[in-house]
Amino acid sequence: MLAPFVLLFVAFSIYPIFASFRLSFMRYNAICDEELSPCGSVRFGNYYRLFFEDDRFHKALLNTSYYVVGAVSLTIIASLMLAIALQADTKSNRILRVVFFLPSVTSSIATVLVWGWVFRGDGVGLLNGVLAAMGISPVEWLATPALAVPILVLMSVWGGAGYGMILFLAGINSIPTYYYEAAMIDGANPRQRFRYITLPLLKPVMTYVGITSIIGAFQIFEGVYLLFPTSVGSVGGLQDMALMLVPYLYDQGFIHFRLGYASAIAWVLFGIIFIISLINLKLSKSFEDLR
Amino acid sequence: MKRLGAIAITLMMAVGVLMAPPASAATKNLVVWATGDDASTKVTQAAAKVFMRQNPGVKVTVQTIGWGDGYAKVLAAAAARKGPDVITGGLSWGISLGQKGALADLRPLGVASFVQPKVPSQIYRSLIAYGSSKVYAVPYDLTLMMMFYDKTVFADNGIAAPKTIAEFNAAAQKLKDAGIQVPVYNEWGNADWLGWFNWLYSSGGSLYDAKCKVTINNSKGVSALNQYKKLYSDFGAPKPGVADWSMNDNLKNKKYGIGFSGNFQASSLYTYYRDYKNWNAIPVPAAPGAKSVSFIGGRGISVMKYSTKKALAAKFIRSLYDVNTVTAMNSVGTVENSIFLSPVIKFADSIASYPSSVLKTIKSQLATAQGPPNCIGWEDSQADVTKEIQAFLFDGKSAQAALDAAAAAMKSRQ
Repeated sequence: MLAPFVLLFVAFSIYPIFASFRLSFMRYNAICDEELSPCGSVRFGNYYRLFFEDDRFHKALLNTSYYVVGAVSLTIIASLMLAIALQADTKSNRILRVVFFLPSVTSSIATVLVWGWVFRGDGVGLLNGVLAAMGISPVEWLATPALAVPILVLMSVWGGAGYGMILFLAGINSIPTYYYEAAMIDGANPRQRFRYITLPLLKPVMTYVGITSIIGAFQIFEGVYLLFPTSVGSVGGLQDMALMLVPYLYDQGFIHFRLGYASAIAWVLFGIIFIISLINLKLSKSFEDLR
Repeated sequence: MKRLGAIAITLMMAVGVLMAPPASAATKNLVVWATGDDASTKVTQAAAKVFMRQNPGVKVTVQTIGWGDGYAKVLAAAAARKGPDVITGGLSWGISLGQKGALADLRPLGVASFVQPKVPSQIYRSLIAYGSSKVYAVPYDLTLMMMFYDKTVFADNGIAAPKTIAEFNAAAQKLKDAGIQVPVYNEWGNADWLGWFNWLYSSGGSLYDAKCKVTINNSKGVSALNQYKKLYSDFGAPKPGVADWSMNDNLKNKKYGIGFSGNFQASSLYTYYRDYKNWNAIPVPAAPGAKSVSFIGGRGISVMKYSTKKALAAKFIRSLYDVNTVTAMNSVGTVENSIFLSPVIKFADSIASYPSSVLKTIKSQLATAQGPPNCIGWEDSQADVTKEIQAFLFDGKSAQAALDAAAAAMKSRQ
């Protein structure tokens, strides 16, 4: 019964993982013409170049780090605040939960394109229209390097806070009410109840939201690709201001067809996510909670 | 009885198969992947129709592949050894795909020697890797940088069409003083190497010399880069991320003064702005004593190495250098906003839709235009060069330091 699944799983999941690991040590463009473009081992050459020679990779890594820290921390904070604010089961809260959850089920391409109209810098954009109405000069939102990552963080928080809110709400609702009742009898104020009951008991949810948000944040692509294009054969926007790891992987793999090098980027990305997830689990001491 | 029936049916099927003519004998199918949009594919289809009329029994299927993933699709086809027989794609694809082993050498197919005398030598040369004699692509169509403006705006402000860089600066300053919202608009290659290319070559500079030695950071390069910066610092050219592809609308509305873009915008002006007669396109400005050198882009055409119909593919490619084919293509192109600019300069006269002044500009620019460099490593250096140009334009780096860094990157990839 399991054979078809196992076969497909091996063919489309397990094999590509091992193949990409092998490719990450190779010069490989899939054609491998023996005379013109031979493929073959470069040992650790791809990794050496990534870590010691490739300035664009370093820029992508730096941008991605800023983005992940900003997007994940702010998404968790916003999710938790929304969950607490909309905790009571009233009609208006149910409507608001739907409203805040909607971005999570909306096509990311569509929302990025809408954000593009919000941030257009030529006076037609929504934000610049608001600024103009207040007599403020337009801002070149998508052409100012210092604003690129904050804009992507804002988009991420807007798109992800609703999803996190639902998870936190489920977590909050699963906390037995007698903890709160006992605390109230002992004279704990709302802040103390949140600090000593809600937060500790939300650790498993926090860990889950944290890890999935980190993985999602490292994989940012659409926002960079659509909002920060460059006109000639590259990605990342003006001065690579929005270059991130996955768009750079795409650039190397599918614009320049350096599949070995792109595989090395993919494995570095995997390593980073794996290590951060382990640290996250360790710090939250939630191994037992997750079991 | 059942067994007899089955044998009879099997025999009938076998006879049917044997009697039927093989598909390849009835028609020869040639598959062309045309990089671009659907409109440009229709133009290629017009050429295919002419070819099919001239070659009964041949079917040419033209399919669109987008610019975004076209290169990867062609490589994927080459890796699978299955897909199109002929491809059109970026001018630099011939070198990079050819060096990967994806394309057939066009010399033994009789294409190279047929096309070479018909097209400007510097354009033909830009499709062949330096130091190599192999020809993996020949020019299919061209995209030419030009300077666009509205004639009434110029007349109202007492501006004559600028020919030199000094005249251009004076004209842009007058437009700025007259309160034109965006005196200069840089549409194609905005703030990257491509947009700077015209200024560099029209100042007598170059990215590489004839032997592919990097020359980007000499005094002419520095001078050209300083001039390029004026577009943004003095004349209000919108940065990438602010600029959109709206030059024609804004020229017509007199919001923009001078726009730098490709001849595709001339096509758009003809097709979509037919009531608007005041636009003009002139050569890019040049430094004193230097020629006006426009960047030439466009598409090359190649035969896939794995194709089993190379001779037929070569015949199709040769047919594209016939004035009747080009005229047929342009009768479609003028309707579809995709006017075809053949690399054969004299065929520009077959474009009946442009004003004579624009045709004159196209012909004069084609004679001196330069394609992307054919030097090893250029394809991989473009992002580095653009990054350094932008560091100078917007980040305070000195022109010399930026170009030195760009030169170092270019050398490291050779």
